[in-house]
Amino acid sequence: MANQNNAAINRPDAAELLELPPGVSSKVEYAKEAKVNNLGTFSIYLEDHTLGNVLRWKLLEDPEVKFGAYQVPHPLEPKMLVRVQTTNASTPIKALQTACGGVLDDINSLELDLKNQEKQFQELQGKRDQGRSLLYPHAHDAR
Amino acid sequence: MHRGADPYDPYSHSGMAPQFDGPLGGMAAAAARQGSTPSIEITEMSDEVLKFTLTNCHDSMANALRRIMLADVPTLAIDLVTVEENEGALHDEYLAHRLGLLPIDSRHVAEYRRRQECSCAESCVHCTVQYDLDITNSGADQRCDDSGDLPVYHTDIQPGQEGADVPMPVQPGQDEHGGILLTKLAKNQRIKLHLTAIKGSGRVHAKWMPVQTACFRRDPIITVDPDRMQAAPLDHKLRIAAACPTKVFRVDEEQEEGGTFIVEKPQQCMFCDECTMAAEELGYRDLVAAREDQHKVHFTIESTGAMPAVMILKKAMEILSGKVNELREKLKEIQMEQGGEGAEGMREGMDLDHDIIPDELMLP
Repeated sequence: MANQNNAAINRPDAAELLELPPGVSSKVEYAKEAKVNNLGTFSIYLEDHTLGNVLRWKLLEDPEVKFGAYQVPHPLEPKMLVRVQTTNASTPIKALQTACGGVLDDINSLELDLKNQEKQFQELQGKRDQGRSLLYPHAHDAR
Repeated sequence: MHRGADPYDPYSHSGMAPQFDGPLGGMAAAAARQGSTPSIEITEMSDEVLKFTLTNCHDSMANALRRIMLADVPTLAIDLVTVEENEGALHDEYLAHRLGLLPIDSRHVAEYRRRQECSCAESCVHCTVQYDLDITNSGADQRCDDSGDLPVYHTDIQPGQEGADVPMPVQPGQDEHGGILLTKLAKNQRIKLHLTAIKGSGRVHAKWMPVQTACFRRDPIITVDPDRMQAAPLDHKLRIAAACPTKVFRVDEEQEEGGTFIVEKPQQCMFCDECTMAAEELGYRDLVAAREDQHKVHFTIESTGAMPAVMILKKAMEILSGKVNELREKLKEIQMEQGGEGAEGMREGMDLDHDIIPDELMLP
């Protein structure tokens, strides 16, 4: 899969990390297991452990999920598999959607918290050094 | 079964395997895992450093943020160096590498497009930033050192394009040395370079990483059995305290006969279990133990100067929610394609309640 023209032996081409591989039309593909009810594998391209691990954790918080796991088949290939089995009360697609919702809720509450905390801190700091920034002394913050 | 148990502590169920590491879900496990909302508490904040504590936040979330800060938060960095003249001691490639590693003010990086995504033929103001570096050691410069060499700093780089708000290289930390040293020129040497910076992310090359440090550690819980510890002779206490390589414990020999064992600096604990082992060697079981608090994660972010540390964290959160949102949209599409069928009903000849997935169906 590594670009043959690339002089650096194993290094994947920068474009491979940002664009879908040839022959893949959608970032997410779903393959339902024919032999077992409510079991399927999602292939998610251009994602890795960053997303896989959070999703797996959220999936396992769902009481309808019987099995939830993720895998990165090859470290140089930007692709991730998520395998989900649910009870009859749900489907793998629904379960993964719920997991996504759960992650979003968490991030939203963290973002809100961060905003408040930052404000408090800036008020404190503003009193101390009038908001002057050491790093960007001539900075233009108008934008 | 584990309803009262700590949802974030896999070791709180004695004799149980760590719960989060198993792929099997189910009602009981799920009930035990229901956590409360995560929260954040900033303990230190400046442009360069941000320290905060995440509470009720699972490792996977902390790790996702850490990984995104390292690999996915975009910044600007010099990617192309055109050498017109280089008479200095450092050869072209060496110089180009050093220039590439310079942090560039990337607070407004969102206004730039990635080179690959830009519609222009080669370069334009929407995807590249141009700089010039033209400097000659004529010998007259006051900055020349005792041997007559002229140090070249990042401040010598001039914008190579029009406009008042060209993002320039910045130096994190105190401005002690006049800037980031790029090279030195001997008398009458000259370098003339044309530099092009583009937007990129750490996934492609480390020079685009906005952080120099992005790490987290769990809060330690250090438990000491007070009665048995007090009953232990002084030299045992001293030996247990001395076993700790990071000096978490102290024995106060003055207050009491036989000394008092004090957990003085729990934050320094690195979970090496030396104290537990030292106690066991002396014949005490379960006297001292250090374990990780699964509820609390201490984070440290240090910025390279490309943007304030808190901004890196904010962008990381944005990117993570962007990734998840995108996935959710795609899942909606897939569900539409599948004809909106609900839960799969009974199908003939099928085992309805697979609690264990047959081997041939496991991931390869």
